[in-house]
Amino acid sequence: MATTLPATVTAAQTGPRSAELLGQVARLADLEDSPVEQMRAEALGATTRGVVAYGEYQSGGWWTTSLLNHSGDPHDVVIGDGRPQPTSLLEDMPATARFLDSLGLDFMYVRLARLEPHSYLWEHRDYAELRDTGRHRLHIPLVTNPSAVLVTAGARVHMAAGSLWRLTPSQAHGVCNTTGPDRIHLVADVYADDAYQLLATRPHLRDGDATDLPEMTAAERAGLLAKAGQLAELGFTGAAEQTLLRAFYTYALPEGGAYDLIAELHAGRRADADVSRWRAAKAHLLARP
Amino acid sequence: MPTTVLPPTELTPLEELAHAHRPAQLAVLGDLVHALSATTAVTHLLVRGSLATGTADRLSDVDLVVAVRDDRLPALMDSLDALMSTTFGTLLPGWRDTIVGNLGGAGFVYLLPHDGHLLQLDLYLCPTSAVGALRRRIGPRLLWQGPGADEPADADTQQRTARHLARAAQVPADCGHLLVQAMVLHAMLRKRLARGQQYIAYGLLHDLNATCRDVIRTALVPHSRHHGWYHLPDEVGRTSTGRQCLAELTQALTSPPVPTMAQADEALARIVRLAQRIAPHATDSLTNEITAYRAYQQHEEGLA
Repeated sequence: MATTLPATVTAAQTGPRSAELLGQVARLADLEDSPVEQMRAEALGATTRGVVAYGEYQSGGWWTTSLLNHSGDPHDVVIGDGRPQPTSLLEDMPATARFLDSLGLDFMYVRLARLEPHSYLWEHRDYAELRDTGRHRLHIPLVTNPSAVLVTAGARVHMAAGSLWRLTPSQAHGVCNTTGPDRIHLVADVYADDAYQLLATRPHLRDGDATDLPEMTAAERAGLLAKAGQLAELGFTGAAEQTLLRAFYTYALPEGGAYDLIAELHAGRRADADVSRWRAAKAHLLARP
Repeated sequence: MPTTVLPPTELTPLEELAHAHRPAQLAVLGDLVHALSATTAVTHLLVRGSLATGTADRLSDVDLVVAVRDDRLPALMDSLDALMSTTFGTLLPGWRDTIVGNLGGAGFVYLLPHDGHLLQLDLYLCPTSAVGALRRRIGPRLLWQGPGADEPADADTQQRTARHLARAAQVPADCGHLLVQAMVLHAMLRKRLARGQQYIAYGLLHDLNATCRDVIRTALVPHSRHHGWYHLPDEVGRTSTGRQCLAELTQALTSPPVPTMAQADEALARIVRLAQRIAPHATDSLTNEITAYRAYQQHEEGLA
């Protein structure tokens, strides 16, 4: 077994949002260096970058390649319930296959996810379209950097390499890799069973894993809208929208707050079609029709 | 005749091969033209340097002149960092280029992560009223010209824009800007060393050491009336921290005038180290960028 469960949870989990945060993202186990290094080498040497999927959720730069899915084709990245089979890519990644096997989990879907520099997955919820079976998403960071963070529950979390992490994707979250280089995670969706419960005995965060984001002041809100407004006035509407979308990674906004900012920008420009478009996007991305 | 940056609709196999293997900078140049021609504020886009002359190599930068309607230039200058960051993913805010000659506008240098490397983008913003003189002086190649490019701004607008440019040039750099300057100069220095251009490397190392001096003076004597190398020991050497900083600066000045790659790296490391001690707010706000910058340079070194 390449994982080690923590004997005790010693990390500071005392922030105001810590309980909610721990329910959404946590370290479950530490990983031995050697298998992680071998999986890293296999991921970096993979013969394909995969495909860009879920385009409406991202700024671009989010590539996924399937390792366990229902067709065996690594470029089939449609997520779905059922019992998956190894793809042809996993057959060329023996260390990764051994590691997955050692976990003894009931996998639903496993993939390699590459997030390029300057890439953002906007605030969203996952699993909305799937049936309501207990399932969890595990992350094994293979290549990462400090600017690659997950934002959820008003906090920014850097998933460091060397641990196995659990993310609850049915809660609103977003991911970014601001400066690069590329971030590569092994991402496994698993069904909740006894093996998972054993692995998830002591979810925890360590000091420095999470940073609470500040609330946005009225002056900061006005300044950000002014900056976006100037970009839009110059004709750079996409850049204006991206400026506001990024507020999600800087401030603790109410759910969907970045989308509301964009709708407000367009309302000020009397661009009614754009207001409607972003209200619809908010409902779709956050699975709240 | 404008240079075409978009691929022709029908290519021969040989042209397809040439297009597929064109320098990465040409693809970035095409994206810049596409993005900047979307605004009615821009009237001309012109390329200069090695991309214009066909002498670009893997390390070449992208030199683009952006002519902007006089009345819109201040707004575009204010929005440039946000535009470059959101649209292209530039690693750092633009460094106000103090090396480029005065061509009637303002130059900004950006570093762009591209396929695991850092590309250098040199954007020179000039008012449309000055683009004619600029073209006569440096002869860039026209890539794109927007409608109404020949409509001159009135004299008042031209003067207002000139005053805005003059004021912007006078704004003193804070420690955050100086750290950005240090990384950009270091990237330029490494490129010149890789090419064996020792004279330019000498000049850039001098600029890097001057940046080290400016970080020290700005952090420790923010209201100094002196510039350059004058009165440094008197002003900075009053405290123990200041004397330690001066000792580090002296060490920098007594190193070889044309550095090795390792000495160039140490020149940047010294600036970051000093800034962490005397201007921690500046290094804290750029922590991820500094880490990423080093990772890209290490990747480059691995390839070399």
